[in-house]
Amino acid sequence: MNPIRDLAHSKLIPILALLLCAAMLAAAPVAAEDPHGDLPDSQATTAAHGENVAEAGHEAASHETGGHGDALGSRLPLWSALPFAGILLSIALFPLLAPHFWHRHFPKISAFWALVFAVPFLLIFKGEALQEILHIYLIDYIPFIVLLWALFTIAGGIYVGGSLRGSPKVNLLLLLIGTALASWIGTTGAAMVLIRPLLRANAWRRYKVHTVVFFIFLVANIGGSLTPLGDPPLFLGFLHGVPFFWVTTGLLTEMLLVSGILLVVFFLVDTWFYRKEEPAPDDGSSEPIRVEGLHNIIFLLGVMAGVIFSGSVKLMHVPIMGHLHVELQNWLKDAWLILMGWLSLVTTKKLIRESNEFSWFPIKEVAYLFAGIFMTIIPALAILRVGADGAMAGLIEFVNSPARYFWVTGSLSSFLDNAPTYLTFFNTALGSLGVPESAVPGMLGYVAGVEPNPQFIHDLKAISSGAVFMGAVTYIGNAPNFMVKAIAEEQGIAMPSFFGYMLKYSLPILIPTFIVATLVFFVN
Amino acid sequence: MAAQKNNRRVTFYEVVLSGPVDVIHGFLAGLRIGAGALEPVFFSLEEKVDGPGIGDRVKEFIHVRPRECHLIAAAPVRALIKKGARRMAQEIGVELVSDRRVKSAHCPFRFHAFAPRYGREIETLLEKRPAGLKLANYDVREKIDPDAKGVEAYSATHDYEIAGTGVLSGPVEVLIAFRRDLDRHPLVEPDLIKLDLA
Repeated sequence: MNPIRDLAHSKLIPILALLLCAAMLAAAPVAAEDPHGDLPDSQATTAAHGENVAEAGHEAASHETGGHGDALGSRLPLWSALPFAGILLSIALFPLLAPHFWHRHFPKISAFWALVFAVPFLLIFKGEALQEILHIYLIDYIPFIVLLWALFTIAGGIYVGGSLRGSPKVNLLLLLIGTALASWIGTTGAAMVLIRPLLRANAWRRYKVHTVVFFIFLVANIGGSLTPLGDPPLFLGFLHGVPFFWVTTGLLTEMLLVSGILLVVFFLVDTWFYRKEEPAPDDGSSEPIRVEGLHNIIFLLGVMAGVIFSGSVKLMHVPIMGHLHVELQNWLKDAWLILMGWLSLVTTKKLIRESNEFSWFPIKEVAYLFAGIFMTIIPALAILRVGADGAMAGLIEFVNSPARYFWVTGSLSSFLDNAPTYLTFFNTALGSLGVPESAVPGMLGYVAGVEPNPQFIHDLKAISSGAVFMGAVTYIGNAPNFMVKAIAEEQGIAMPSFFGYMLKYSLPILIPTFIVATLVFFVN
Repeated sequence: MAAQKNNRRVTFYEVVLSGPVDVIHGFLAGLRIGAGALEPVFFSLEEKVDGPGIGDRVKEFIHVRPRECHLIAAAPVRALIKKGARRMAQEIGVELVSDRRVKSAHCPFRFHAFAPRYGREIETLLEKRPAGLKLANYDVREKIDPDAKGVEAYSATHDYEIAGTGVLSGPVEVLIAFRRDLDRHPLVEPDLIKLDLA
């Protein structure tokens, strides 16, 4: 296995290259079409991470709401979001109903839904549509994929070897480490690094399904709630103006309460099962824990520094098309993240990646599927951004409290992918307040002289918590869930079925925990 | 095999007693120690033998002892039970409810594994089943998909999959012992042992 050669041979690079070419071609004729000619400059600055809030905040919110999707959002019918529903349902249902078909054909299915939306959209809205498409790919998709690629590559270079005896205390410790790590190397990375040590530690045990399930709850989901690196929805929030450390402080108490309850429940359940176990065989298979590829921590810190840098400085705008531009610091950040990933590839022993069964497939999956998701989400976001003027006015009226945001975002995140769900409700919250994305840092109290908006803060905490926490409710709520299930099954663990997981674990354990969180944090 | 004497198989009975389960346990232990009986007796609930109703299984699940106790007892033990229950029914509150010969027993099972070594492990377990147990309706489906090798997130599939079903039948005491072995394997799901009663 040569990860670098695999990467070069993978179709990911051509896709990114094509997108960049498209962006450059579009950038050449700067006087691109803008049929309405009414798009303010500030709208394109949604690319910036909100540091320009001061300027944006002084502009008329009603005009600015939603960036260049304003007029578009009020003209688009609700059914234009059907391809978005189609791709999310495909991601949810195909792996359950036709897993091998889905495994072979998911790029085509993703492309199908993307084209179902893109072709008529471009034919009808022409330049305006092209600008929207370029906007979402340049501002959301590429940085999103680059970050996930970098985190995945670097985390895949860290291998935890050795084996402990899976006692309740050891398992609790492993879950605790994984929960803490997930926010810094991503839930997928943390799951990939720690699932095998956990399975090795518990190989001798008869009752271990619950341990893997709690691993999915905590490491593959809830643990990722403290930084934008932790879980894709939070990175999308970061790309749309939520400051990097806002979630660290903003979701800390929510995360601590929910993780604390789950860790206590896990310890009690595991202790109960442990007492039913036959004594651990003394076969000498226990080896001290060792961590290889630790130098990758430097690259992880580099990724974090790059992301924080892009949110802290403001360099020149690079014009792309019409009013669309990209901030230079974001391109520098993406280049830096690619460098970090590349350094990890060339400096990490092949054996370490082989031990982690590292391959590019998971990142290809993300690249193909999110290419479709980001294309098809365009109408949903545009409609939501115009708030009560759009076809989703009913939804905006319904989600009018943090508790509702938490449960509606969470319920949908349980069955659909949580990243687009987060983005949808993030825009719903903005639409209901009639404010632009550029005002987000100010509303969160990160801009001197701008009064924080308590309603938005509460709503965003609820949306973020709902999207991240409730990704654990089903196997399809978050990408690492299925990955952990599949790895555990291949190690001889009889994981529960889709509905078994919900009935035996999510409903009796997670839902009461979330009800407690709602009562503590989201009910005024 | 304790249930065999001079190659002659011992007959087993399903004996249903009513009374406090702890008392029944004590009663049986006393009878067997007193009589020096070494032939086995199995508690249906513990050994997952069909017989106790759904109510009893719910009670077992919530750790409430049911009033009725289904036993699978070898003929000599059954004789002791009948005698003891007749003599001590009023004294200890244990009564004989029914008593039927077990003609045969069978146990459906299924398994599902995602790595060849587990598939081999299960097939070996079934091949090495005790003499006297018959395997019927054995249906195994093996699927190998080299494209699905590796770790996936959104399209998680397995490159190897084996699933099977079958029905084991034979002497009840042998089936009970082998069912325990099957149950100990995490990827095999044995069903309840069904009895064919005279």
